[in-house]
Amino acid sequence: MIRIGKSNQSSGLSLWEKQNRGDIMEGALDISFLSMGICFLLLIIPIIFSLVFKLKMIKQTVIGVLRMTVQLALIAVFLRYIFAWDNPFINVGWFFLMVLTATVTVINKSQLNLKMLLGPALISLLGVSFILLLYFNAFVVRLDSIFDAKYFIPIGGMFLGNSLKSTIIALNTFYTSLKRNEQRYLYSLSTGATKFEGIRQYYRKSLATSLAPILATMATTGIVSLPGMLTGQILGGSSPVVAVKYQIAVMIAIFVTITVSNSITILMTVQIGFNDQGIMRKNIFRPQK
Amino acid sequence: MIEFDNVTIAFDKKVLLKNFTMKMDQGDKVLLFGPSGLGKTTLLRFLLGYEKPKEGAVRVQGRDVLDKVPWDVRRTAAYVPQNPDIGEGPVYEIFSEIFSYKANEQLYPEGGYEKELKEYLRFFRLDDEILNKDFETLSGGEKQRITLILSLLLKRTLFFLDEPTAALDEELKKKVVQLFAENKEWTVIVISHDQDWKKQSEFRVVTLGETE
Repeated sequence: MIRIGKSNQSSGLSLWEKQNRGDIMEGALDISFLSMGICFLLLIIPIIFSLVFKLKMIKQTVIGVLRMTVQLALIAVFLRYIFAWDNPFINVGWFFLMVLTATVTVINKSQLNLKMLLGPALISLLGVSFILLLYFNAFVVRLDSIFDAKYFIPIGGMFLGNSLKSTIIALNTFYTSLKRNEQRYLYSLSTGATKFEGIRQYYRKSLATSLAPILATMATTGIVSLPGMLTGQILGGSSPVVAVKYQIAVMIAIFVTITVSNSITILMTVQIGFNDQGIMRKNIFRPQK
Repeated sequence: MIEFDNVTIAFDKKVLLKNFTMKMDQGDKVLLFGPSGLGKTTLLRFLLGYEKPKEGAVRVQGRDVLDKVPWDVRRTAAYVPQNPDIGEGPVYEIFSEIFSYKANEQLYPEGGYEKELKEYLRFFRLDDEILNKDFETLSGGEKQRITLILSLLLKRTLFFLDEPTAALDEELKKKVVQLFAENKEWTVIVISHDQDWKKQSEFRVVTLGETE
């Protein structure tokens, strides 16, 4: 009997199936430190561009690359320990730390007053992303241990990283459009509007604006770009099918996180951003330098 | 009804108005007169609780306009701002937004405000078509008339009018002045440089800078 193209007949399983069963644990190829150096060499190109076109971005470039390298190197060290310990309390603690960093970044980038808004923004980002993360781990991935570091931390990081940008947009759109249209807002108060009736059109607008990017990303994902998580999982040895399933699930969870957390964040900041008379506090914006 | 009690207006360190005192009863009509930059508009803003005076007290119906009181004032007063930048989108949407507020829901229990609106449009010589136009594309005079119509449709008895006739023609000016002068129930504070208000005997002229 002649068999063609069935050299792995003996095991009866394809390569992907083996990987999915965990028979083969094959991560991406390591990159040596020398190779990393070769990668850094590429930075000479943007630096030359900056010199030629007088972009004045060399300092920023160097700082950006240095920060990225140091931060990620530290993450590599931390994550090695965190994965090794895999203690639910440490994992949740690490997640809280990520939320705190994320929140501070949100407010810092949004030209709004850090001290005033930190509390409400922190509570809503923390609450919403934590609940969604638990739901995701428990019911979508169906982990035995929902605090498993390998899932809890990277997926939590993705939720936060994505809701971060969106929350910045939402807060910025809300407060700047309210500031720009202060006369209209005050007029609506004079006609008998409550604070919420007065702000609702700006609230709607800011939510719509903040959700537009993720909606666009969802609609073009896979055509225009391959998301980082998908690429990472494939390099890490997952089958494209598994990687795609994760990608879809994560996108949906992120979309939900963003919608809920942006809505709540704005409403919570409204509680302290306005005085008893419904007038926006001037110090909600950071003083202009 | 309305009381300014030794009110001082100051921005940073510059004092614009010192110890302004004025009392109004129900039905009183006052024309605030005086050169620009004395803080006449700011006096109206105090009444609406948009700002607080540095010194002195502002009272409406015997209550200091502090804490939650401005919310009650806003539900009993109609304000026509100097710059009628009141919204965007079609005019009818601005109307329906304002009449959807809880405070205004009960104003027109039967059939809505359309009938009154049409009458006011005719009074102000506006075509019904204006309701479909984008508010921002209207002329200054049209915007002013729409803002006046809104203030009237709200059925308030307390009016704060800031240069309400500046962009109107002579004939309409007279009609508007007459309308506010003749209604005995209405308590009106108007800021205007138009002589028509000054000529109207119902209006007490309060010249800023001079003590009453």
